[in-house]
Amino acid sequence: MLRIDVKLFVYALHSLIRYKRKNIFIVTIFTLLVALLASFVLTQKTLYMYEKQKLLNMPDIVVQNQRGGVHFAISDADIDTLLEIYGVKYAQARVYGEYYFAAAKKRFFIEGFEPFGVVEQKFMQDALEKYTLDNTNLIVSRPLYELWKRFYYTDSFRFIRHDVKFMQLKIAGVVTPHRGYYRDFVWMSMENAQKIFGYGAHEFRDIALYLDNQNELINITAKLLEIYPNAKIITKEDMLHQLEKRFDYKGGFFVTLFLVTLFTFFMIVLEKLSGLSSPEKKEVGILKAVGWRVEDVLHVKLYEALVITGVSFAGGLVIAFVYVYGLDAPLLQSVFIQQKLDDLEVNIDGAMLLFIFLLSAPLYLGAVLYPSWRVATTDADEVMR
Amino acid sequence: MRYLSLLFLLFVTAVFAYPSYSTAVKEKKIYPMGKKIYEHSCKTLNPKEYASYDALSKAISLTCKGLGKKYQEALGVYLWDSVHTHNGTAHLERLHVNESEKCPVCGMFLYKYPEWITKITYAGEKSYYFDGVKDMFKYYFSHKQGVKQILVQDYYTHKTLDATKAFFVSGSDVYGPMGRELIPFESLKAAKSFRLDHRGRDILRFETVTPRLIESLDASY
Repeated sequence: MLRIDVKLFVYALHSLIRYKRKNIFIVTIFTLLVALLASFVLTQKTLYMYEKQKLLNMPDIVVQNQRGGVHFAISDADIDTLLEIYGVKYAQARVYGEYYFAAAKKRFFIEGFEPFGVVEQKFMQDALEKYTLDNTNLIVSRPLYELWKRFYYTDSFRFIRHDVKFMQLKIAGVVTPHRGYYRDFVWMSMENAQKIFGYGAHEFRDIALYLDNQNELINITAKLLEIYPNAKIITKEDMLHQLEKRFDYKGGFFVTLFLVTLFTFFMIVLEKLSGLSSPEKKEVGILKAVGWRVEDVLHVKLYEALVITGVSFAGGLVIAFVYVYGLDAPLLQSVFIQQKLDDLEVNIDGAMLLFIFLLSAPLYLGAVLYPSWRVATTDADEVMR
Repeated sequence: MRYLSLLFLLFVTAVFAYPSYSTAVKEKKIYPMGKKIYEHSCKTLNPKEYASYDALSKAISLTCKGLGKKYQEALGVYLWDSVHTHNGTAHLERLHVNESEKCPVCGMFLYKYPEWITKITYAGEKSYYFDGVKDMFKYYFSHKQGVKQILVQDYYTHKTLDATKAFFVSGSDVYGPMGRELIPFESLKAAKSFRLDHRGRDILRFETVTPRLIESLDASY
């Protein structure tokens, strides 16, 4: 039954070419629909993976101080107590934030590092070992450095501190940004970062904890609340859940809208094709008179529909790929994230392709096959009349 | 005069006295920092040459100029402890299995549960890996001859421990891959903290574990 009769298949191809206008119309619509759906699904998946990677690099628990419900600086007086908690691998008071570079109207990220302190992320370790940070210098990321050079900051950069004094730091090294981290960043000594952002000597933005044993997350969080009763405690697990929810929610929005669009086109195509046109009826009548059985005619119609679906599906996917990975999804990115990314990483799997296929193909096959089936099963005599 | 010199002595020792940090703080913060400082700025010092901590700190303040007091202290503690504090057992390697390794008692694949792996090595270099302390004991009680070494992993830090020196907590709400387990710890303090957090029952040592206890872990209630 599944044997493809080659002769019938060739006849189907010829038949497609015979009714060029109609078939090109169908193929175009279907290709565009698949391209739309595929672009969206690919963008969603790629950006989700990117954000997830960024989150995975974050510490397991972050403790932030709050006053009156608003974020406030936290002191490092209790860090040693935190290290005593079983299951905590390391606890670190951090200073980081956004700095506004007025001349270029751009914000970039600054992070402070304690001299000789423990650094958890591998790519940071490598860079910090290569270039030693002290109170006179900084490390900058390559994209940001290129921007600085345009403003004539080639050897050093001048920051405006929180207390409106200048701080000039030499550029000790330039590093390529890492996938799971900011693109434009500056690393400097903790003391300098504190001065720029207006933190005192023992004030920090938050305390990051890294855990040895993820099982102990709940217990350790409870112990943290004993030490910092007013703090806001953010766990990596929470952040991952929120990320998933955000992407699922926006994805769901789109799928709903898409289904409405798909159904509309289904109706249009069905309507256009179910007018039993005379040339077609005559053709079927002749075939039947010549001796073709109904199933042969149906096979031909099925092959036609499959070829249309296959070509459109492949075409749609190609367009989507070019749009998302070649052009970096210009408008679609802003649906999910604020800051646009360049150079999206290719990220596909079978489940996604199946999803795209199942969402578009059956409905379309139905729209194409139903009228063809109607035509094929009409009585030969009736047709010839 | 005597009192003055006594006072002076006290003052000097207070300045260079060995700082009192707990083990946890030392291991997690001071040693890594000291190691980095040593490798980066002060490799010329040989800690073995100094008889007392004071002498070492004085040498540091003289040779490694440009370091703040906090960093000098970290370096001093690191160097002093690396020579003079005996950790007891030598540093044991982290337990690793390949993907085909199975537990001889229950037949489960071990690579899926890396934090629970335990190991018995027999004379003749034959070793067996298990997915938990319970299975390890089950095997041990029927194969006591020729045991060279038994290794378990600390629950909190996953550090490899000698089972004969470890502390085990029974009756807790933390389940291993084979259900109820004895959870191993490096120190009594850690075991007590765990027992409090996870409603454990008893803290045992290697010798006090009996076959009856292991059976009771599997008993259904």
